[in-house]
Amino acid sequence: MIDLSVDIAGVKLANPLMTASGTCGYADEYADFVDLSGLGAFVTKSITPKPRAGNDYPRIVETRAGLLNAIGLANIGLEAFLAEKVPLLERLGVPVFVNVAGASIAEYTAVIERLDDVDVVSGVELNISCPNVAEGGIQFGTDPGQVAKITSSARQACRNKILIVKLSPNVTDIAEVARAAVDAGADALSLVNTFSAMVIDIETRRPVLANRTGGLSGPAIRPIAVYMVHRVWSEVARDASVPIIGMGGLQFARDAIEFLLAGATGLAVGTATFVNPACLTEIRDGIAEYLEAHGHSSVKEIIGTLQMD
Amino acid sequence: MSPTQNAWRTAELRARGIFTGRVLSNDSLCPEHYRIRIGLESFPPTRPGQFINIRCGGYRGRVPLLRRPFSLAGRRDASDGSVELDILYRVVGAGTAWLAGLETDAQIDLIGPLGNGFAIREDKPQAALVGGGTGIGPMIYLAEALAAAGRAVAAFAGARTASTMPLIEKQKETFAITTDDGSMGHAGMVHEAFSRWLDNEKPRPAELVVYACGPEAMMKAVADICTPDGIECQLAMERHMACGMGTCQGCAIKVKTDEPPGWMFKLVCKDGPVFDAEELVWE
Ligand SMILES: Cc1cc2nc3c(=O)[nH]c(=O)nc-3n(C[C@H](O)[C@H](O)[C@H](O)COP(=O)(O)OP(=O)(O)OC[C@H]3O[C@@H](n4cnc5c(N)ncnc54)[C@H](O)[C@@H]3O)c2cc1C
Ligand SMILES: Cc1cc2nc3c(=O)[nH]c(=O)nc-3n(C[C@H](O)[C@H](O)[C@H](O)COP(=O)(O)O)c2cc1C
Ligand code: FES
Repeated sequence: MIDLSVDIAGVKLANPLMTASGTCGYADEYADFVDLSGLGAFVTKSITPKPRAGNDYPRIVETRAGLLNAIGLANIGLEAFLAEKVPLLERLGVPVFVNVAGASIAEYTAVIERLDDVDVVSGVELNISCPNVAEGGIQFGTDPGQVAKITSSARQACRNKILIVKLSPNVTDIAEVARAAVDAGADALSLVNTFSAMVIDIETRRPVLANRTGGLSGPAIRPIAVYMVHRVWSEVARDASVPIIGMGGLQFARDAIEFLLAGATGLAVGTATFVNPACLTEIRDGIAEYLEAHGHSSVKEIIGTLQMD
Repeated sequence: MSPTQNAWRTAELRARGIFTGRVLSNDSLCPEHYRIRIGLESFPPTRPGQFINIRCGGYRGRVPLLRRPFSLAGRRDASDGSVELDILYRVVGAGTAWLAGLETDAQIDLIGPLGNGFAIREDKPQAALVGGGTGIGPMIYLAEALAAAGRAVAAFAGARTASTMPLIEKQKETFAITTDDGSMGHAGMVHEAFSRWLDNEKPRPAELVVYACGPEAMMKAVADICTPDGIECQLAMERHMACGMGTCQGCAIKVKTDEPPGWMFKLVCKDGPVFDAEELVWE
């Protein structure tokens, strides 16, 4: 039997696979398509203190190997999440990480303080990397000083849960922001969020998305995400013993192996679940097959084992 | 795969899943439209107005990445539990071109049934159906379902010109046909034919329900005819979709609410695609 279990800063996961925030709903939206109890963990859509309607339509546009979205953090808000979704999450039977967003540091900490007492929540994922909202989100995630500030405030509010900081790839050097987050108390890092991007309608000569720009996800970004995971792993995470949750364009087990070799301990899948929600467990099983074929008994044996020479 | 049986599945989610079907036939109906018949070993119950999300090209073909949504245009159940689904489609890009190239017996990967579908009203004996272009597909399925439910059906189908009318001969008996250029049926727009029928037949508003699917401008015109007289009007809306399952939040549509600012977003794939005309905020 292959051991797929991993440890994210003390939270035990049966396997590395998890949902990427914002792509698999709040709880059981995919229950008809995939046995969610077979996941390593469930990551929710971003939650803000108040409900958010989100951006105008069009919010999505497909590219040849990816997807741009400018949803604008549309979500039901903290109170509805606690009342309606937490009971469903309790029945999932896997660790739950709640993704948190806000327009100010106070908004982030207000949500985290409430979640800190909710039993089913194992960790908080700080979304400081949403490219699609006017305030909050990415403005906290691109400047190392801001990253340090918001991470340490979140750290104080987050006493009982692990704190995961989700990094933006829209920076010159992702290792720099990773270091700022780790130094300020992040227990784990997740990367990458989407890349700022634009698609133009050549007939109207306007951007396709109502928000003008959006975040690019899907297979198109995978090699950049793999590179960034490796850079953060080798520059910051390995020495600090901080686990990485890798994501960006994951579609098949072979993609997952790349992320693991590059240094990711956890793996999140977003865009590919829109095409095949069952890919979450298919990737999990494919990892086990790869490990078996290569004579490994545990997934931990290959994490960060990329040979550079 | 059949739908997974998670014990804790919320009740409001109806059975749906990822299915592999087989192409039974895939015929060109006119230079623009095709009808594909898909055979499945089994399929959950469906309603007219619901849709399926087809993986066009699949992973081996690589393009396009996302699934493509198509409304059901018919369904037949065999005694052994197997199901035949019809889709009526127009080739507009890579995904639909791939679909048009599928040969009989090819496998087809689909997710469904998705969306809410049209509601058949117990208290309304008269139904009027207005379909435009590719939107005629779901109206064919709905006309069958309404006839089976014993409703009187007045059905209208419109296309630009005779060569783009996707109805097969026997369906032409059910639908009053209009073409913009008069090359088939009456000359003019399909909502005008519907409006004339209303003026001539004078059905009682409370006993009539109107269903429409087609270009947004056509549906708006139908809504504008119905709502001032208090006639119930159900419209099948379209939005670009990434997931079709209610998770990406991409297919937002504005609907009215009593609370400020007076509107909110709903999701076409999950809360729709069928909406009450009264509910919609037209942009
Ligand atoms: C609920 C729903 C039901 C639908 N039912 C049918 C149907 O029964 N028959 C049918 O022929 N078509 C239907 N459509 C539209 C169909 O999904 C699109 O034509 C198809 O996705 C185009 O894919 P493509 O790869 O061929 O074209 P692309 O290359 O992706 O695009 C070609 C053109 O189609 C438009 N388009 C792409 N995706 C959509 C979309 N999701 N909705 C509307 N327009 C789109 C693009 O803007 C572009 O103008 C439906 C759409 C929705 C949302
Ligand atoms: C439609 C959509 C909505 C998203 N919403 C969120 C969100 O609310 N919070 C967040 O942290 N990331 C969000 N993301 C980013 C994903 O979690 C993920 O980081 C990114 O899409 C890369 O992974 P992928 O290529 O597997 O999709 C969203 C992505 C998509 C495509
Ligand atoms: S298409 Fe994803 S929520 Fe509707």
